[in-house]
Amino acid sequence: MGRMLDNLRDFSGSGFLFILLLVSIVFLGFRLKRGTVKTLTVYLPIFVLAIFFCPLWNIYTKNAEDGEILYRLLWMIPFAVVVCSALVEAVHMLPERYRAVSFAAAVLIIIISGKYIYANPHFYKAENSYHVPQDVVDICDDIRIEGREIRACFPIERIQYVRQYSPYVCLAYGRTVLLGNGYNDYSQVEEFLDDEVIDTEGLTEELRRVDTPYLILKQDTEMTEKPDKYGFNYVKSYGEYDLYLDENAYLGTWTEFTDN
Amino acid sequence: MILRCMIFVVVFLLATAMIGYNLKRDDESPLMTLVYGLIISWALAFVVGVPLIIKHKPLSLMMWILLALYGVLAATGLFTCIRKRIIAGPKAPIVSFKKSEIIYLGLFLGIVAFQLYKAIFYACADGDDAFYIATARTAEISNRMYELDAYIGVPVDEMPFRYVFAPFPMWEAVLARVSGVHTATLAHTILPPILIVVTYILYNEISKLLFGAENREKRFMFLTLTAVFEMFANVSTSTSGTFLLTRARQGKEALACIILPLLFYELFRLARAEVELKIKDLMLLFAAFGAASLSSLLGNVLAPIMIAGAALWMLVKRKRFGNIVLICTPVIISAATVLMYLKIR
Repeated sequence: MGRMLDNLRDFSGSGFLFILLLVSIVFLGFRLKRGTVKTLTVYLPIFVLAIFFCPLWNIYTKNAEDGEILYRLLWMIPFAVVVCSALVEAVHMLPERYRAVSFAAAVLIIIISGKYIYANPHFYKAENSYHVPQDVVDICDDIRIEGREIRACFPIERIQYVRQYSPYVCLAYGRTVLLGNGYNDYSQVEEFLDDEVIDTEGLTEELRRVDTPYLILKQDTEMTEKPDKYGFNYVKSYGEYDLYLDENAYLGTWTEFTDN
Repeated sequence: MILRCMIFVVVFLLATAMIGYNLKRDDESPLMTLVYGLIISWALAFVVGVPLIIKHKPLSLMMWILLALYGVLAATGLFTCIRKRIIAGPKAPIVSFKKSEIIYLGLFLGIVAFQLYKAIFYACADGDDAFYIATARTAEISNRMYELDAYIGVPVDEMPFRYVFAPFPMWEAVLARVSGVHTATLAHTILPPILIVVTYILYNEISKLLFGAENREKRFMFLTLTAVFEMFANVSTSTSGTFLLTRARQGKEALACIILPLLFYELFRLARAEVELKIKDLMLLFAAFGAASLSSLLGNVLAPIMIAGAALWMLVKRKRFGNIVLICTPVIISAATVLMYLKIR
């Protein structure tokens, strides 16, 4: 039961909306007469909850990697439909003259029980239609070489955007380093970037080892030395990021390279 | 770019509606054609996409096959629509709205418009996009499906089969390739408002079953409350409301906010029906199961569980045994997908 309770806790957050669901099920159970509506708004959620708390899932979660996503079983309960139909029924139990007030109270119940989605700190005004930070778009456009890919090393907070915008830009390390499953065996770049003060010599050596001519760093990044000491020369600034290029990098196309 | 996007939206909605007309029942709102059109498109993308991906075929082949199928279905939908319009009698007059109905409807439309504005003009960073959208964008440009690591761009040793069997991003890649709209624009700016509207179209249809089509005050109040509910469902990152308003570009969102509610709606209809299951009902269930498989591997578990619940209830209620057997047949899609996944991975 433990893993499923963890799943439920992760899913229901503060728990108020889940409590509202349970109250709605009970209310509709008493309020509605036998029929299809009752079956789907009362018995179906109970059926899904019974499945969710089935002890067999514990055996599954012991052997499966994706045990933490079993909360998705709860998607089978149409939360909005059950809660809102209960609220509509409750509002209509009162005389018509109180309807506006009771409707406002129903809205208030939802607001108090839930959490406003647009207060989520991950929401921000989009800078372009790609919903990708403009500095990433500008850097990707500037470093692109027609007819081939180019590899770059972006700061960790920018890596998730790069290849959504441009698959022509390959990365020295990807989002796997954030997922904690440790299968980023392409480079050890992120180990250098993780340090409070970055070892410039080690980082530039590793970048060359994995054919990464472009390095993008936040301007306030602390480093043992400037990258240009090791041949990574400053090119341009993009907002709060600086772009560096390896002076030994080959930036022609592969066709030119093989022709020569 | 804006013009291209607008042309795409118009053509996409028209084509989707025509495709969906094939499954629309007479008592349903014409808006349901959009829901059905999407469901059919997704199911076909799954059936066509998975074998091609496993065989290392290019995205362009998937695109041409899908375009041909979508074209045929859009043509048959259009033909059916015209034929029905010709033979249909005069439409029933629309009963005028009461003041309270106008207020609730206005509130609902206002809240939805606000959500659409947020979906288009505000970005919501989600780490999973680094895989899903990058996978679609990589396929669109490279013409190869799941052969390059979406995160860093190097060729993969082995395909990520967990995602290969739920190739929702390839459907997006096909749309991007056909339209010439950048995959990121398509996924972040164009698809979210469409998917959000489709969810509310479904809620509107569910409200008719809950309260009766004629009880518009209750229905519009219900719709307003659902719109508020979704906006305040951010108690965790896992609720369907959070997925609807922050991740309406990923297969998981399609599963949680469109496919499972559609199954709920369809089972609602079937549970009420006393007559024999119609061919359209069965086709809709098959399409919903195909769409569930496309959206997420877990769709192959959730959709059959919902059907199992319905079948159990129909057994208890001693409904027609033939109907019970028939509604269980689409489970073949999920079972075959899971078995193939377990064999290949």
